[in-house]
Amino acid sequence: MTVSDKSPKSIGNEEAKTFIISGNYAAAYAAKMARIEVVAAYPITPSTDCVEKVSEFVEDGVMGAELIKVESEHSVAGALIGASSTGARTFSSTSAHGLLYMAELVWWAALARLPVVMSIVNRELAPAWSIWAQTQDSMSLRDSGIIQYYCKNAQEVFDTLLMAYKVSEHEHVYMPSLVCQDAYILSHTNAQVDMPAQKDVDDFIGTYNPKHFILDPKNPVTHSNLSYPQHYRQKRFNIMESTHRAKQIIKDVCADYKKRFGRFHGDLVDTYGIDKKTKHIIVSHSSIAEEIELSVDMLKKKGYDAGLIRIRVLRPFPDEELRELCKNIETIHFIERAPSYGYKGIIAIDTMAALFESENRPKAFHHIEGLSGMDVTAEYAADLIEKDLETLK
Amino acid sequence: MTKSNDDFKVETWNSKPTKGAAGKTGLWRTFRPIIDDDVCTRCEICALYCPEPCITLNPDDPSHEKGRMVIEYEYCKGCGICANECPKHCIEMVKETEFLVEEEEEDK
Amino acid sequence: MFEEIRWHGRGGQGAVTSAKILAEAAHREGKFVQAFAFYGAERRGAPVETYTRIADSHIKRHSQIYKPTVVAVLDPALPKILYMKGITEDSTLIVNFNKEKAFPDLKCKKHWIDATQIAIDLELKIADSYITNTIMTGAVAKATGLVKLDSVLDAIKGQLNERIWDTNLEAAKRGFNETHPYSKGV
Repeated sequence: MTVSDKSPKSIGNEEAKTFIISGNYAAAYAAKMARIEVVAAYPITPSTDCVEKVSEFVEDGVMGAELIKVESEHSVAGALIGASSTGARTFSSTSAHGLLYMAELVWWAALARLPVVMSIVNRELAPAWSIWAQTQDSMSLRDSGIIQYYCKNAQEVFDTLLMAYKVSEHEHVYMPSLVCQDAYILSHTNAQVDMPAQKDVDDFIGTYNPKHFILDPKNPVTHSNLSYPQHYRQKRFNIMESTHRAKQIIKDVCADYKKRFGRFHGDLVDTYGIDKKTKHIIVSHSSIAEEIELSVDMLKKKGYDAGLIRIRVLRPFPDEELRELCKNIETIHFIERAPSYGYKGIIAIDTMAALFESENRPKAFHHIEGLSGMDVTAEYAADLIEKDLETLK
Repeated sequence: MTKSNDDFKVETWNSKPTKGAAGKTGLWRTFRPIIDDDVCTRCEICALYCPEPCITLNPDDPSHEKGRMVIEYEYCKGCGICANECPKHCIEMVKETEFLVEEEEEDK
Repeated sequence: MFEEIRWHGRGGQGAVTSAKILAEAAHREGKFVQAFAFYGAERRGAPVETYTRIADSHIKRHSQIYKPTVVAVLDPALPKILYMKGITEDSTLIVNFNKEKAFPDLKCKKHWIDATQIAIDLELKIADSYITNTIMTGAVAKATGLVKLDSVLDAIKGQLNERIWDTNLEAAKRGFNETHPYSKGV
């Protein structure tokens, strides 16, 4: 599929190129190359740089999006919902309290089946005030139907944003997406990001042509008015069907991306060091997981058959994949940044539920680490696992 | 049943006003205000304008009938407002590096 | 190769840019890089730390730098206690000082450069304070040999506005040429 004359401009990425940029800038570049039509913004630390870069692109005339400055995050989501309803490709970026303030409309976007895509910088919630990394802000919205990706580095943020549009705009999906990165650890760390040429991105991502509904004055339609229970149930089951189908669609899109651009960060899950001998699996997420890859190397050197599963997509949840990967293991160790108060880590809860249907249920160890952006160094994580295993001796 | 008389306590973030709650802000300084005591009239305008506030009058100092202005360098950020406001122009902003050399020599 | 460089400066002195310039210079030589800082409540004048990582392969580490292989100090008035932490005998220390200082208690490879004087000569100044970041990047290139001077110069062009290229290129060259190892030994 190619770009039509009406598509917004994206100038400056004619050739494939490597940039040294932050996760926020990687998201901004992805938005530009995805030829976003509408951006609404109400900047919040630490996602500010992303919308700042987008507004710079628009101001410089290299990005053809309509930038709407609004008075709150709630209105950001409102503007995006309106724009997406008319068939526009939309984007914004926010964090922590910004995301929670728009929570009502995140649900609305999902239930209205609008493929809004946002770059989320995961940040701790107040009180007390903290600006560092923690993933409860977006994870607390996991039941809304919104697709959630958790990235391990800036390159993955860039690639995943492009993939997110392709998945969200699939005619069997039409659901919004959050592409999440850790505050500062990714959002403000400059690293290499390889970008393909614009024409290759255009070929990959195509244009958004909604088939479910579109607001158009020439063809009036009432959208989402009062619905009686029998219709309501049907539409909600339709969302469950779409979000389940999204799993295979995400896998296909990731495979397609790999074929075209040579990069693959995993699809629903990303694995490291797992083979037939693996007895101990660490389950983690976001940037912590990339550093834990080093812990796996350390543990292997010490003679432990360890491996890593990184939950890349939290919703839809990769339950079958987890059951398959954990078929023959003895222990499972959760290291995550997001507790669900009153229970355990959010990823642990979902993973344990998935493994309940498994014949083999490994012994589980739970670690909530890295709150408020605290370092989880490779050495520290390896030590946690070793101590877990010592308790079994 | 959970007992209410064990060691557990509900914790919240509470901070009380205290000296130097923001840390030793003197580390921020690149210029150090130095008062010329011979010219200073102890009018206390510097103390009034100091945003930190880390200039005070020590009334017991024998150098003058009113005492002596004292700057607390652990917390002075070196903003220079005192030097700017001093009606006698007797506060000089001196580069911190000059003191570094002096202190180094004292070490030897 | 896995080098971890820690930069010490003050808010507003451009330590973040130093970290980025060195990262881009290494990137131009085919290395993998990260440039980052510890962010809190940003304040002009407060001591800040920024970091550069340079490696031969993709960098998986995302935590802070605890044992730097190189420490560069942009501001001569920063207390020693701030930049001493984590230094080992193999670390290289490059300090902006106007004369050779002994640091008898610091066991590492020590270098000095009068970067402030170079900044005064070149009138590298923002809001009344002298900016030594490009000078120190040249100095780090010389003292450590991590990157070539040409790569630093290219990286400055990549990171800074064309309007200020000339002075900053000159600054990096002088930084490279006027860095001295300590004669008093380790």
